[in-house]
Amino acid sequence: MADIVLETRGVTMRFGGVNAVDGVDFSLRRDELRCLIGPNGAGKSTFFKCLAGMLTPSAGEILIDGQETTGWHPHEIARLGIGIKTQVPSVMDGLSVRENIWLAALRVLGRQGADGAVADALERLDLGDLAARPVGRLAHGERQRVELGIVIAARPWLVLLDEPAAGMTADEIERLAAVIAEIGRQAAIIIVEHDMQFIRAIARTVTVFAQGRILMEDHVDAVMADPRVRDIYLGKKG
Amino acid sequence: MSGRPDIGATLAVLVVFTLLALVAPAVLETYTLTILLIYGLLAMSLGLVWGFGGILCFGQAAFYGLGAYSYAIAAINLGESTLPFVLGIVVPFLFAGVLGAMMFYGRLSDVYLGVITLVVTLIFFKFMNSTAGPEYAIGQARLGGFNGIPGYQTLNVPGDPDAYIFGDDFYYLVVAIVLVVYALLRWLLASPFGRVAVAIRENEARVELMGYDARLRKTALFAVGGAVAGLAGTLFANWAEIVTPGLFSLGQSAEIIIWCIVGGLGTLVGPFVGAMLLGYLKFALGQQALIDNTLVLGLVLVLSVLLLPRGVVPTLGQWAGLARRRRPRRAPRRRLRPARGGADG
Repeated sequence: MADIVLETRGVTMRFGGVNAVDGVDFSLRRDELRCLIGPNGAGKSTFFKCLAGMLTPSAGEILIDGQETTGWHPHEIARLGIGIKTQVPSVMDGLSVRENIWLAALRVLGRQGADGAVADALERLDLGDLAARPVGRLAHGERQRVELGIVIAARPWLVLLDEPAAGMTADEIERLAAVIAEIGRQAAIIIVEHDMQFIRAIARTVTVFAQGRILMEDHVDAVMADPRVRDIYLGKKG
Repeated sequence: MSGRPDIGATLAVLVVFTLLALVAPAVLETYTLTILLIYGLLAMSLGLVWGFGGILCFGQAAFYGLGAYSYAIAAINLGESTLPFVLGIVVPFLFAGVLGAMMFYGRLSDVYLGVITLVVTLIFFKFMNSTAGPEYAIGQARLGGFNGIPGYQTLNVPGDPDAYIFGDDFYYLVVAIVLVVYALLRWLLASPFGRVAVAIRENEARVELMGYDARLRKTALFAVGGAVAGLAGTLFANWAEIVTPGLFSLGQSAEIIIWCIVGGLGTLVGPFVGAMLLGYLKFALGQQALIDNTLVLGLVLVLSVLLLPRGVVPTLGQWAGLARRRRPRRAPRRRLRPARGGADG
């Protein structure tokens, strides 16, 4: 149990009479990369927001590195050393690419270390040519990369990514897979994703959500071959 | 980006301002120039919290009035201006800090924030108007209700109550204060604290996800804005030699917002210039009785919003940038600066 870095016990999130997340027990090991998949409305993004502190669960508890973080604010969760990328690119449009990433590195590494971390992130994400551009003028895929740069510049040990490949070109997705593999050498990762090809390229273990609960958890190949997974994606009764 | 202010631009602004301040007394009386500078300082305080922190405060007049009243009350009780001058800055700073903490830690949305700051100002206005009786006194200082507080010790050389600073000396002191405040605010905005404050304006949720406590930083920025407004109020108390509840009025609050809109947000120079221009216009219109000056100010605001939606100073900056780009051989190409992100001017 010592290498479990994230654990949830009976996490439930109610909106009115609807249980968007319904008693989810989940755990993640220190060296693990886990994909959360499921059809729209399955509860994976709501569960993700509970982990990131963007929503406070109605019931249950969340433990990060053995510390109960249920109900913590996002900045308190991030200060534990957790990098968070949201579903819709959340960046500072009026600031340059460089400054977006610099601000993330600054908090963790201070002024001395921030410039180096920015240069590293710009190179890894191939953002060097765009460094001086205001983020508000970039294409969607480029904004996704900037947000990923914000995440990796802070050198996190646990990374939460919500649909990082959405809106990216094939080339960008290929580069993203390589970056995620590299991050995975130093950090545990949870990725919420829809793109099955991308999931096949990066994932080993996959957790499938359906109707707010975990339907199954297994190796990616086993999950893809499971008829229940095909059924929920095709809209049949799961 | 790395926390160093744009020293060249800051120095250029300081030099131009100093030269204009030295030449201006040849055109206008220092008495009038002084109040215009005080208005400029007040506008800069809102320009800081609104233009850089994204906090639209409808009640900047509350801190202005609080600074003026704090100075007047302390000056009557102490008979010397040094400590009252400090209190005129510290009291609004602390009040803005407490008010800001209540609003930002309470996670109030922008609309409620505007409503609360406006209501606080109106409470001050109402309360100060109803303090005519002798029971409303702090030490020897009677609050005076609608008539306000006159007859207090005005600014003197520290330690020498008989050495008054007034007239041209007071004007040059205000010029020096404006220079120092501008330089300090530029430094603050270029510091990591200032850059994070601008980032909060751009996307508060993202800044929180980076691990910064946005509530704390917004509270601190709001308090600094309150302190600068309080400083302007303290200077006003010394210029007018009387403080009245009118300092807390709705008209005063609205005027500060109009100065910022006309001058241009996202810069410190913009609100300052807006206040100087409109303050002078108000002064000039006050010399005649043909047209109601609030009508003219309203017209200026409407025209400004329609013709110069970004404000006077950012538009002039844009034109200057365009002119530079038309001469690429002579001028080296400059780095593109974000439209809303930088700590320009």
